[in-house]
Amino acid sequence: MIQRKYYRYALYALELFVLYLIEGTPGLIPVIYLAKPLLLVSLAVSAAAFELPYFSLFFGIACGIVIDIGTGGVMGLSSMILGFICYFESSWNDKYIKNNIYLILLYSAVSAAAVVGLKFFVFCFIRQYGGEAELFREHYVTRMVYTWAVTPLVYALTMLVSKSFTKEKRKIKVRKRKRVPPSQRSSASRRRAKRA
Amino acid sequence: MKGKDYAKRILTTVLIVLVVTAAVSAAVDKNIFTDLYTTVSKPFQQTTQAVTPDPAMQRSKEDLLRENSELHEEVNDLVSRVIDYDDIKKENEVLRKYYGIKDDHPDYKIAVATVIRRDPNDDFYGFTIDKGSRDDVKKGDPVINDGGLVGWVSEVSVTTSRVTTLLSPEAKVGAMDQKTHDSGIATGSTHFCDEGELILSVISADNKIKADDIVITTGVGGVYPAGIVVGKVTKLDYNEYDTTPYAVIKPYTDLRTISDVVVITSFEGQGIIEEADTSSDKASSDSSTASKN
Repeated sequence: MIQRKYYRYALYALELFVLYLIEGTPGLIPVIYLAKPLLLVSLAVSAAAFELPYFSLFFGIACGIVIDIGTGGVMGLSSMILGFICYFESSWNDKYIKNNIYLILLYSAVSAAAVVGLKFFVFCFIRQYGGEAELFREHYVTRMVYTWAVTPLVYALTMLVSKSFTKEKRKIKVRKRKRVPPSQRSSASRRRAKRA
Repeated sequence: MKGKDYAKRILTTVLIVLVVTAAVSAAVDKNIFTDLYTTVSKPFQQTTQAVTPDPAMQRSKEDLLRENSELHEEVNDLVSRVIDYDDIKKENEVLRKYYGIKDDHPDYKIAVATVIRRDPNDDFYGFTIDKGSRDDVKKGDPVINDGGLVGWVSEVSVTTSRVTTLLSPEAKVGAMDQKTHDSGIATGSTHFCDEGELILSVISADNKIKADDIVITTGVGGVYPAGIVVGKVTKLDYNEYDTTPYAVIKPYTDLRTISDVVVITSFEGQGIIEEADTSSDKASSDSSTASKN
């Protein structure tokens, strides 16, 4: 019998594919202030909130590769950043702080800033097209904000996928021992209490 | 006897009346009797039609259900045909639009393509088309549409290709004013790309370029065919740092929202660097050598 987690992974892959199609289809997502969101950044961060570190690492890398394929040019830039952030997000979730929507928004803001910022640095700043500040203000900042703003939607969708294919932990019933007054205790138990 | 005569008279009169009526109705276009009859009978006809049950209602339920399902099938068939028709019509329109290009330039080998993706991470409105190496598309092939030059193929996969538009600062297209023959380099600018405009830079200080002049490709370098429209000059301006002049060009099609294009996979003179270009390069290299000396 195939484990539930494999269904979940398959659905994540499907979600990745669908979001990739949605974000690239002309006219499907409204352009706000010359920007469209990077849905795959939000997806990588959202999935890492529910998964184990190694899966998060690989899924982050996969999302990054797909972003790089779409953008064209240097392959591996976005995947490096997303893999790294998703791995730490998932590890921290395991060890220190439980993920919630506010934390996801924070991770999303960091990821969007890192992915978009690095792209700006490599493709515009180093190449010196001229008017970098204007380009950054009008294209990159809005893209970061838009990506961050759609994260709750992607998070909700990912949570739905994750929750539908996660085994609920069984509640273990703990029997409470009845306290027996000393007068009603057996002689053996009285002796044990005395020794103690 | 008297009664027989009376009957004969009546029959004769009726016969005469009928003959006259027939003659009149044959001779006159407008038949007064028909009009009279239809006018009188129409309300009755309507009443009887209204009170008579519809023949369709008289049929059995099974008949009606069968007919209904047949009609449904027919409707579905027609809908799919309409969709096919729309697709074919659209394809036909696109092909017809670009047939002129092929007609004007028989040396062009073209591949008609559709924009299938616009990446949200692209700053200069680059896009992906549905034609790749399988359709003879190569890296560097010029991309045009009915409004003129659009850009070039910057990446090729088997089934798709990535096109960089003229709005990108990476674009360097040899271009000239069609009227005044002032030449320069058409290139994208971070300042103008969001308005869908590009600039003609490296033009001489005493140029005669005016607004509304048409800018075309020179064909120098063998990357783009000569004579392709780049756009229309909207204004002349000066660089604020080095005061060199440049002209702002508006392409005839909005490159930011373009949906179908043509890739020129082969044309006469492709890859051939023209003599003028070589000699100018040589001259410039000569001058630089001279200055070094």
